[in-house]
Amino acid sequence: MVTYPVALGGEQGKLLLLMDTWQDRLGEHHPERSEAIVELRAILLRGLKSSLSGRHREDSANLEDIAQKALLKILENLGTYQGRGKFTSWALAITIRVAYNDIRARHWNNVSLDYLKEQAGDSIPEESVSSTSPDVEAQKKDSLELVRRMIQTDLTTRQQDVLLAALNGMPQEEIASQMGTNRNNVYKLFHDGRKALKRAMEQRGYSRDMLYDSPDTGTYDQTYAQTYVEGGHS
Amino acid sequence: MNVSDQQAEIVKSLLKITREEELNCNELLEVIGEYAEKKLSGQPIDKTLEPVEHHLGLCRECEEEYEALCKALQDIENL
Repeated sequence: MVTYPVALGGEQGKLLLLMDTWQDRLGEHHPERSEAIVELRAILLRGLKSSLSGRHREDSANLEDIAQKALLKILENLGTYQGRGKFTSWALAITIRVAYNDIRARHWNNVSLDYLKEQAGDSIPEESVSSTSPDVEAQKKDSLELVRRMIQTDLTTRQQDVLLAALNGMPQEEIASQMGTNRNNVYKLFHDGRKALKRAMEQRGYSRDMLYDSPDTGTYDQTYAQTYVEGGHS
Repeated sequence: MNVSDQQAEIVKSLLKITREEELNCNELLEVIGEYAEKKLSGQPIDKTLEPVEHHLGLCRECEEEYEALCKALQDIENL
């Protein structure tokens, strides 16, 4: 319960106001609410400018819009701030998510899940060039074939759609929008799908060593980064 | 649904780090500020924040947002 010190008046009241947290000051009935909003907005804008500098060029009108949208979201969700880390760090994290959702939506606005499915249907497994022994190569090939088969047999259609879109670099927010759901549900489909695949492969006798002989996640990161930066759909 | 060799490898690498319990993107948003502050100040990452590291290893978008957040926090800190 927040108590407001205005009734105290004078220096004592001012001192107590300074001790109030961001969460207090942004509260609906706080006497400093307007000032707190202006201060926070300035911090969000500055953070946006530095976080988006270099990679994503945004004009200042767009940054203002993003900051405003983020501010509304922060005010709506004030009660969810758990006090873990500084308030401004939490607010900036929300602001950056709003900004990136906006950027990603513009980047992917002409790509449909159906288009990705069609493209996937056309893809041809690559011939691998490797210096490892024929036995290791055969084992690797088997495991990749098993992955493909399990995707077909052990995932639901929605899990397959999410996996395919993710493998092609489509952002979760965009997948969610096209599937008529939200990012959390997309992450859940992605997570449940991975768990189902993992169980299915282990049940089919693939030991951890055989299953996980792949290079580390660098491959995943590189492919994802490449797809996103270059716009894998274009 | 046809998956290329490279994509199948990616799926395998994802399975390698898949856990029964994982943070989702919204849960991450609640603690990423604290995680970023600790990382930037060189403080150790305690057990309660370890799932954040795991999620960042799996989720390209959250990782990208985390990097942007670090840039913003560094800039604000230098004000």
